Amino acid sequence: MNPMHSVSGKGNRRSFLRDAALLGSALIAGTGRGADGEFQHPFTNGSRPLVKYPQKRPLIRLTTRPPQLETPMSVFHESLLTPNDAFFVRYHLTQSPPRRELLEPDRFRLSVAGRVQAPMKLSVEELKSRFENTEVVAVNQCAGNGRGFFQPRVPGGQLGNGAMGCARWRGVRLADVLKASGVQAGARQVLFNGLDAPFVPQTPDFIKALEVDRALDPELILAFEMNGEPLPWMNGFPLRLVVPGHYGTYWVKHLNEITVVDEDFKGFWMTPGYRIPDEPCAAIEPGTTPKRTVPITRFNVRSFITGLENGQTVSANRDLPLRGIAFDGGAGISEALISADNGRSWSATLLSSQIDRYAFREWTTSIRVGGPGPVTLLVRATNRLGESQPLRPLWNPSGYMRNVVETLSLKAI
Amino acid sequence: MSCRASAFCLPIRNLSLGVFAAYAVHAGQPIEPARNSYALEEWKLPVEAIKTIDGPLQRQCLLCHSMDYITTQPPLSAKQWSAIVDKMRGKFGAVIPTNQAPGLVDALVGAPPAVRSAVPEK
Repeated sequence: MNPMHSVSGKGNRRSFLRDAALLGSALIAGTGRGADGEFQHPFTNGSRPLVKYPQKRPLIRLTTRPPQLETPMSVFHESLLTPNDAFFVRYHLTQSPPRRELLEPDRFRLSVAGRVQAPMKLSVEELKSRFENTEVVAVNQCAGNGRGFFQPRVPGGQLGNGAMGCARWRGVRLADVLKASGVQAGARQVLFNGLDAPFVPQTPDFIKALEVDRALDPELILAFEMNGEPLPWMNGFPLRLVVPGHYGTYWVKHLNEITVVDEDFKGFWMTPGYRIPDEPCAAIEPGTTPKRTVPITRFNVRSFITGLENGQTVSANRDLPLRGIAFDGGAGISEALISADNGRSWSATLLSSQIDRYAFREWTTSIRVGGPGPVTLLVRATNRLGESQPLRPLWNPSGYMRNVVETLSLKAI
Repeated sequence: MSCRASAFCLPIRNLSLGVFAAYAVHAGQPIEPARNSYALEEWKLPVEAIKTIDGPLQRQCLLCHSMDYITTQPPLSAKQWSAIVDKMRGKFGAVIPTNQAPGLVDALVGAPPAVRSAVPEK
């Protein structure tokens, strides 16, 4: 049992201090058996344990409390849909994931309140039966995916590229629920809050805001299923917001409060949290401070070679089959190109059929490997808007939105 | 139509296992149970076990987050750590007296690289 779950995050100062003392002793008293292996990111302080969590296979653990888990890149070679037990986990607040008792079907209720005609409290079963069920296959990706590769390095969660995944999300349209509750004229934003909670009450609760127009987009889903199963505990059980094409920060987990407001919400996780420079590609000169910032929104274009790892050996003078994935913020991938000469020339790959414009798109090709020696492969995707990936990494101080053309270094023997 | 009223539809709700599943039988053909939660044993987080760390980090940082929040950071300057301490105090409510902040920054600059800090409960 996580010691956090024996203490309360709410209460007076006296109980807080008592809880803090209990927590301290619980941490020290804990004993362990070792992780399920070791993972090494190719950057300083990149050593991570592989740890098994409930409903998960051993994953790359970035942090323990609250837990943050990364998906090994090999998983993206297994299938286009990321299995639930390998899907990444990102939390912000100490009391995460919330206790089972708060989440079970007989206890959990979603409230819809604020500037609405008819406030509602709904169980997941009521959501399922009252509103049309719908699905989307969509990538979820952490804003800071790849932050560990930033140069100069930036503080924050030092992730490799494993804070992404693609799943089939099933739920009801947020728009249907909002319309049923009757959003009042003049409403500006819709706020989303989940059951994860801070340890001290001064820590800002994790609340995200969307403009009313965005919230009424029929693509947004209140999801209760992921790949045909209930959401895993650590991926938001029993209900989370799915905002296709948008960074995971908006995909509020354990979602139990929707509040319509007639102002611009100024909570920490909207400002200053999760903001990007108001510049093309969210990029500024490395090491500088942005003049103006805006909330992060949609994914840029990314692509990866899967099934091969940096440093791997391949056969010289043979054809090498290549396969990988590409995705973007929803325009849809139109092209993925491969270069074996550091970007001087590019060759086309075959794109597999599109599951969903928000999903991972598979590409395949093969290249001829020359004589023994180093082989460097680049993959670069373009979307239907003509947006692509830069050959040199861009930089922003929060380490968000990495989408440089990734490099894979192999050795032909 | 209420499930309870139907002779062909039997709801099962096993509270003791924490499993809630609705089984439906129509015209003798069982339909796959649609589970809507997980069994009790699937809700056990690994025990967090950290090496004993004395000093300001233990008292002031580890209440809200584990040590790996610190040890997985890249090498950061005193100025960068100072900004993080300010954020923790000003925005997150960390209880760090003003006169202890410089000592905390010193400890953070010298923080050890990633330590293995937790293990799963079998």
